[in-house]
Amino acid sequence: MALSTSALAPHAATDAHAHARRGISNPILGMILFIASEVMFFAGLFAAYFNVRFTAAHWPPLVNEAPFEPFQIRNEMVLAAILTAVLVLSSVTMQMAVWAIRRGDRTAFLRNTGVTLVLGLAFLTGQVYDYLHLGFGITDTAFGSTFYTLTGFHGAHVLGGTIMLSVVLYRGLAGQFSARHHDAVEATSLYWHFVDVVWIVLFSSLYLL
Amino acid sequence: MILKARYAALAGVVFLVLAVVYGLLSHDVGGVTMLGALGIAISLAALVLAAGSPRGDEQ
Repeated sequence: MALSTSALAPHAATDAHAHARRGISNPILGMILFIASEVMFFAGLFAAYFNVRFTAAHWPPLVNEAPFEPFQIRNEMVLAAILTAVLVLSSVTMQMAVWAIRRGDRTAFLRNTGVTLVLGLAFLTGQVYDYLHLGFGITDTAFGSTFYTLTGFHGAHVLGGTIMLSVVLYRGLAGQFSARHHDAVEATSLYWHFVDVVWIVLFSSLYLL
Repeated sequence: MILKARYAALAGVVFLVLAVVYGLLSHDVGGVTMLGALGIAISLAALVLAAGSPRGDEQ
């Protein structure tokens, strides 16, 4: 036993040296590069929306040369505002989960991750409810197309985020994270904050601008 | 030469400036959106690649 310990010592020292020289972990590096590519993905969608919107003679477009009432989504933005609050709150709880695991508080980490997951699912449920009551479809002029494309792709990203959160929660329950080893939590939180920021820009563009 | 991560992130500022100039000249909001997002994306990529490389001060 003593022999094996002394044999491992040089390797341990080498690993510690390599760790000290490492600038950023691979999961976080990969996630930030992925987010950079996602910025361009959503930029394309927003650019298309702005291009259509600011070159249109009327916005929202007229239907049969008359204003189409369901397009007046600004007048019914209560649900969207609630969904915005839900998503912003979920970012807060996600960050609280990160802070908790950084200081080794696994109970608070699991609680906050669970709340974040529930808030994410609540957002998705609210979005589905909104879709069912909007009164226009994706084929109803450029307004419908851009609205559903933007919110739909964002919703898909929220769904992806909830899947990541589910995995993080499962691994957390299995005791796989600690104050030293929680890169997956950090990476997931970065993605979740990004999805939140995209929604704020989306909400501002569609409902407030 | 030691490349600081925060200085690397300034690479994206070039495109943000370009977005402003392009917007003033063309009034094309879609193009400004793409150039602005490119600036943000390049800043993120440069930041993380510079921060992710082995620290130069230990070599």
